[in-house]
Amino acid sequence: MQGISTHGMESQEDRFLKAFEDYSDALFRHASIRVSDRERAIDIVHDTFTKVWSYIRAGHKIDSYRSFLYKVLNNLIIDEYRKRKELSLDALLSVEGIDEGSFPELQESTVEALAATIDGQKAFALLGELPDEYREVIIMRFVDGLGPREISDLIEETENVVSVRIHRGLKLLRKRIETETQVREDNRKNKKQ
Amino acid sequence: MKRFSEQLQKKADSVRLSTEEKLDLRERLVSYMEYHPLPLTLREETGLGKSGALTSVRLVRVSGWRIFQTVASGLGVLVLGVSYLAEQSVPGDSLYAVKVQFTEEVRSTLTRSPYEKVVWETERLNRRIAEARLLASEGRLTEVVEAEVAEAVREHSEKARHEIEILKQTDVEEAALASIQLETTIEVQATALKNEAEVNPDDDNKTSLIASALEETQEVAAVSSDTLPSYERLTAYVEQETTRSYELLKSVNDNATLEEQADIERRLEDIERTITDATVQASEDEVLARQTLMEVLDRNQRLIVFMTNIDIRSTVTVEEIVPVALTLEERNANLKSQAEETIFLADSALALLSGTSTEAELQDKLVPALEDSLGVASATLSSLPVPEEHLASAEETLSSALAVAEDAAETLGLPAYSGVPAVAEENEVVPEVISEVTTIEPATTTASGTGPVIEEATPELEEVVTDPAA
Repeated sequence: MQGISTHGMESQEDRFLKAFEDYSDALFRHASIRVSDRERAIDIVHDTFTKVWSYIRAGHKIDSYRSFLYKVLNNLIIDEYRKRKELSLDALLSVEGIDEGSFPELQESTVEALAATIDGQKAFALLGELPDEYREVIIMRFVDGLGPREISDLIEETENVVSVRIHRGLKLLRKRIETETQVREDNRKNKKQ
Repeated sequence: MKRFSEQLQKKADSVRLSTEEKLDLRERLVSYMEYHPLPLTLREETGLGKSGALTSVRLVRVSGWRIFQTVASGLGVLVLGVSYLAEQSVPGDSLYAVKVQFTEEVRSTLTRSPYEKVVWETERLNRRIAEARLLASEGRLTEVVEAEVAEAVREHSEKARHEIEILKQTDVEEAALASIQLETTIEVQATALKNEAEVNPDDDNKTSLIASALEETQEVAAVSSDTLPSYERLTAYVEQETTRSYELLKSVNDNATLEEQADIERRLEDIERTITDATVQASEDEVLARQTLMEVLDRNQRLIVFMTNIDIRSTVTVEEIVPVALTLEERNANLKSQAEETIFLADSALALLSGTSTEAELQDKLVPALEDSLGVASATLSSLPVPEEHLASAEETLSSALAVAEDAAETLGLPAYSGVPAVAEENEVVPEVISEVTTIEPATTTASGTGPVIEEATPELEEVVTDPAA
């Protein structure tokens, strides 16, 4: 959608709608995977844009729509989570704990190496089973293609924490995939016998 | 890593908004933006003229065929709706231009024959004047608007005339028929406007510009009606137009007073009678019959204009536009009552002149004239009913006789003729009525048994007698 105007300056409305064209699909994808509910995801994307519009109306300037939209979207998803899964999330967090992370977890190269060992298609199917803390960063990293710094800005954690979460998330995914493969193989063996 | 990322992404790509969901979401957002527009200060900063309205325009551009269809059908509905609403508009309303320059022009192009065009332009002329009246009644008719209306009146009558000219090339007779439409309309409207100006002279003659525009067009007119359509054609046309009148009368019945309805019905009866006359004439003198029918058409058209323009009815009576055509019996009855009036007035004047010592000069002047009038009146009375061919002359002589008697009565200070039969003496009338009164209300008058005193009873009696009648 190009601007109609021959004006050098784009109006706020134009820029805002352009942002919608550019990012609504990605935001929806992100939200949809995170909350596993299509309708709810659409509403969250809608609320994201109306919140941003209100922010513009209040006179604020937005330099980068992409990160700002993700930020608002992320907050809304977290709100949604708090409403829905407060108990289980807390339980998960308390069990898992978040620490600074060990050395290998902080290496981007080890993340890549780890990811290389995982079947992406299977991983996608299992994303829903991950605690949101991990799912969030994995989607940002591998679906939305955001860099560690951007993610750290978005979720307001240090880059280290982001890296550790991605690392652990991937590990969890691999573990789940392995368990599942194991279960299937066991089933097959049982059938043969 | 690459494989993982690609595989994951491939899967994730399947999660996307459908086109419909995206459109819907976008619409929700745009309407949210419209309900929560940017404050003016922010807009000025980012460039004028690029506000909410434009956003919706851009929506059409991106949304593809489906939206185009919706918008197109929406526009269709909008056009119809706007035209419909515009029909009620008057000069100065925002929709007025739609009415005059769109709806009416479309209708103009839809009329096919020049005759229909004349009728339509005449209708438009009526509409302009009706609008001006409405505005004037609301005190909204400014000079500028009035000038515009006057101009439009000129324009429409010119267009109609132009069509009549075209018609003349191909069909002279139809041109003559069409011009009846236009000229009678202009005439009726002019009369109505003139009346308005007379009724409200202090009203600054608000519609005077329009009235003078009408007068101008009337002057130009007067040339066209020299051709007489054939008798057959005229009868067909008369039939068609009178049917229209009857239909109109039916539809007017809801908002016309009973009196108006009766008036119009009477005019239609007159027209029917004239048509019958014309059919009789046709066997002897076809040209005369055709002239009669043209006159019928003229009267009928006036009636139609009268019926179709409610506001005309408020300023003009039918009588002014289409005078009653009296039947033979009615004319004879008129003659009779006029003759009686003349005799009564002349008699009383003569009695007064002989009884008192009036100036000799006055006597010399009045007595012969009154005796003449008396003679004319009694001659008329004895010759009733006067046959049709002598009616006109009888009416003329009698009316001048009546005028003489009236003049004399006025000079002598006699009371005006009140329609009481000339034979009845006042003394005879009063006691007669009083006896009725006493029987109606015995309690008030018979207490002493002596009967009421005439002088006292008379005023009372008038009240009592008129009351039950009302």
